[in-house]
Amino acid sequence: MTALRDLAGTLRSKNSDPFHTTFDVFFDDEADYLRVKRSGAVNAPDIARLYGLPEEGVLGVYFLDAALAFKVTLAKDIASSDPACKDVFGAHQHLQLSNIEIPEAPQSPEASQARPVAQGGET
Amino acid sequence: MNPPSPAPPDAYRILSFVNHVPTHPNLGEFLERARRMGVDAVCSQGTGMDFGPYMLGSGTQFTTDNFKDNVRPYLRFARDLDIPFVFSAGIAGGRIQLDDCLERIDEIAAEERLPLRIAVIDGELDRAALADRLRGGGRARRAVDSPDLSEWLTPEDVSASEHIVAQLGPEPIMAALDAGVDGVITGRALDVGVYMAPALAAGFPKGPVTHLAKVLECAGLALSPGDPSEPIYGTVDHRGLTVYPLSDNQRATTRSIAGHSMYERDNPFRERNPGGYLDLTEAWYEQTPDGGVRSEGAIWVDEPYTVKLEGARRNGYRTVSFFGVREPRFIDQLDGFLDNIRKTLRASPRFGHLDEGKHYTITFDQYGRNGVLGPNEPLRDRIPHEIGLLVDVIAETRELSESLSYYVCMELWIKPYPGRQTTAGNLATRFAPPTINVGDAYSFNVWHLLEIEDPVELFPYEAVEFPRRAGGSS
Repeated sequence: MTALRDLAGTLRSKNSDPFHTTFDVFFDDEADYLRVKRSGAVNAPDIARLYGLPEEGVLGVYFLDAALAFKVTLAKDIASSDPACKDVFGAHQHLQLSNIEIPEAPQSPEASQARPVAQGGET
Repeated sequence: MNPPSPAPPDAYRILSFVNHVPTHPNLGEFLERARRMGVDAVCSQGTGMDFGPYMLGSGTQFTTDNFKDNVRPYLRFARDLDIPFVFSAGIAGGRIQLDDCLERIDEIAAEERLPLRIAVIDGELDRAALADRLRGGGRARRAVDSPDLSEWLTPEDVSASEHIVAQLGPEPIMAALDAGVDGVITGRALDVGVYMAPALAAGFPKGPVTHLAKVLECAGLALSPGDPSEPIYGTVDHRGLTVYPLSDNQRATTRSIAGHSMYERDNPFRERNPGGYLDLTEAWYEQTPDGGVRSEGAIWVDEPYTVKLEGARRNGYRTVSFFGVREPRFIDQLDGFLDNIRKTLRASPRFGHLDEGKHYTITFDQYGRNGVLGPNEPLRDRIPHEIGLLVDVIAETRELSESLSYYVCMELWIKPYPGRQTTAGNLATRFAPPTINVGDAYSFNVWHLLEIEDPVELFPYEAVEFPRRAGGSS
């Protein structure tokens, strides 16, 4: 297992609006990208748990092969304009995501397809 | 290297910068390169709600010095080439902020002896007229499903808001560009609309134009390494777009451009805009031999026209204080100690009649323990050796906010706890005075999509001659 932070290049969070946080994770290496994508470790139920949200609070998990990147968008538990919000820009919410443990890439191509990856907003 | 650019009418060439980011010291070189490549319009966004609702609510912005420094060379550039410019200005982009920016345009026009005829478009809506529109059957549904927002905007929401701005689309800008002006300056506007308007007016199709606008809207942030203080250059034609850097500091890579296409958006394949959405599902990206990135495949899909409204409501007056805690026995008991302060407040003769949550809120943030991630902090059970304690009080009035803050300070300083040895004071106080009056606090209560028939109806332009002091407005 390897933490996502040790496989990713850029790993960032930002408000997509005051009520949502969006995460963009880019990989320098295609093998690392495919390892993460095919592992299924980046999935809505786990992310919801890490961020203390119901599963419908994860609006989408999207993989973009063209950019060797994936995006995750979450509903905020506290809107960025709420007085109690601790991160106005949502720029420092990546920690739990970065901690996700990614299993080793399987050897055979068949095994790598064992768990289908959500695409295009189907989370 | 000077990448060749296709000449009009085969392509439309846009130079982009962000006008509230401090200017890059080597801007002159970048502009010289752009001049050699050929430019048809200079576009720049300078509005956004990234900074939260405070500036919208209070009618302020950081400083217009950035705006003035930034736009000056680009205005000169646009006039030298006799090409139009389109700027949105003023961060929150209300009427007050736009007027402040126009003052600086006035100064530039006078200092540079640069007469400018500019179409000005106000992005702020008249609240009474908006409330009337809603009473008369006008509709605005919330843009996101948040419990903080009414599902359908009400006249009461409108009157509770201090200011309401609209992200005006490209159409009002296109109408203004048609009016024989040197350029257009708007208040709050849809970021991509600022870049779309001149290319749409020149007849290029909406899919590639909108995609180009999305890539250009944060200037050099879309390049590698990302730096929004550098401009960016892009061309659009009938099939797609090509993007180039303007300096050797940055490169356009398929990754940076594809990556920026999803920046700050909740869905990387579908971007909602007034009157439709941009579908990037089939978009592909390719490095060009001359140092650019080519993309084709973006599709525009029409939908009923809406314009996004943003409004800020005052929550109260904010006073903060900050302390350091290093004593292990106090750190052990801090959570319970803070709970007790709330209880004591609720039972006190002075404050007991007030409802916490209604008349005031008190937020304790413990930096070093869970100050960033709150209840989701994975290491929340680890005992830190030091805590930065932020006390954030928001109350109906400034007087109440100050009184509550002082009360909390006294409790923190001197109240006993079991096993206390430090009887002269419980913690370190960072500031004198210990309480800091921040000002009014706001939240977004309007974040709705107003249905309108005609994209231009709410956003007329006014053509103004600068410098206004010398010539007056027309």
